[in-house]
Amino acid sequence: MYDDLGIFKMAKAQMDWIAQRQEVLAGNIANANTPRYLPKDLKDLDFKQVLAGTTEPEVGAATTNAKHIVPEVTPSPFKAVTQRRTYESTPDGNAVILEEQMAKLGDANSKYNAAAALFQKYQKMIKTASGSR
Amino acid sequence: MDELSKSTTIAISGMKVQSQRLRLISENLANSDSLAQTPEGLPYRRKVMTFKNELDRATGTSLVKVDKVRADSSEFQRRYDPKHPAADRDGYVLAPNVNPLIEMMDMREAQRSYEANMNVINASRSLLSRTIDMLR
Repeated sequence: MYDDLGIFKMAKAQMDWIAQRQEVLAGNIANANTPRYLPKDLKDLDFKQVLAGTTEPEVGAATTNAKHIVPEVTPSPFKAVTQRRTYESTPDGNAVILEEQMAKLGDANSKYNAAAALFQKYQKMIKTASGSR
Repeated sequence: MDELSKSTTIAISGMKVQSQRLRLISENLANSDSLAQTPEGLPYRRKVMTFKNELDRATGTSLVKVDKVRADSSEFQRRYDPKHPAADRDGYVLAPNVNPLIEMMDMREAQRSYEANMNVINASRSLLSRTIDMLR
């Protein structure tokens, strides 16, 4: 029901994006000592696309026969990009800077909180409007 | 499996490799005086490990694993100790190629990476609990 409402959709998209980004950042930090590892990050969430509802390009295989198997894992709508231009790298080619990753993590945390708070606020508004407490 | 649990799994794999690394460092440090028994014998050789990325099929995430534990092929140190059973004709004994200073630095790095991974787990957990709070 909430999915049809624009604001909920936007908050959800933001939270999805952050959760996905958290995974990418976790990968970077876990690989802080892996040789030749370049850090990754998610592409920024495009607000216009979210508004237009075109963030999820669901490209799946067509099933024209009963024996065709549909992959269970749907590809993530967000794209992870490898950072080619990095600030510095160690002699073994690793370019993960823990401080940078931590800062991103904190940033994601506060954005997530903001989106969640927004979600709740609107939920309360609907409750008030519908007359229930 | 949702993304937040996935990131916890990744961070845990990072913590695992760092603690294995710490184990190897302690092995090196503990053996920094393991000399040979005979003049022909070789003392303890320092070990180093490398990490790699491996796709975990069960969760679809790439975790960090220990790639290989290799012997450090750098030269042994020499100590003058004519009375040692492993001393050569000039009175020198081959000593392990362990440099405590390097091991300490490695240890600090492992510790720092471990802490960073732990922070990721904490952050994921706080996001998760924030999501659950929305139910209230």
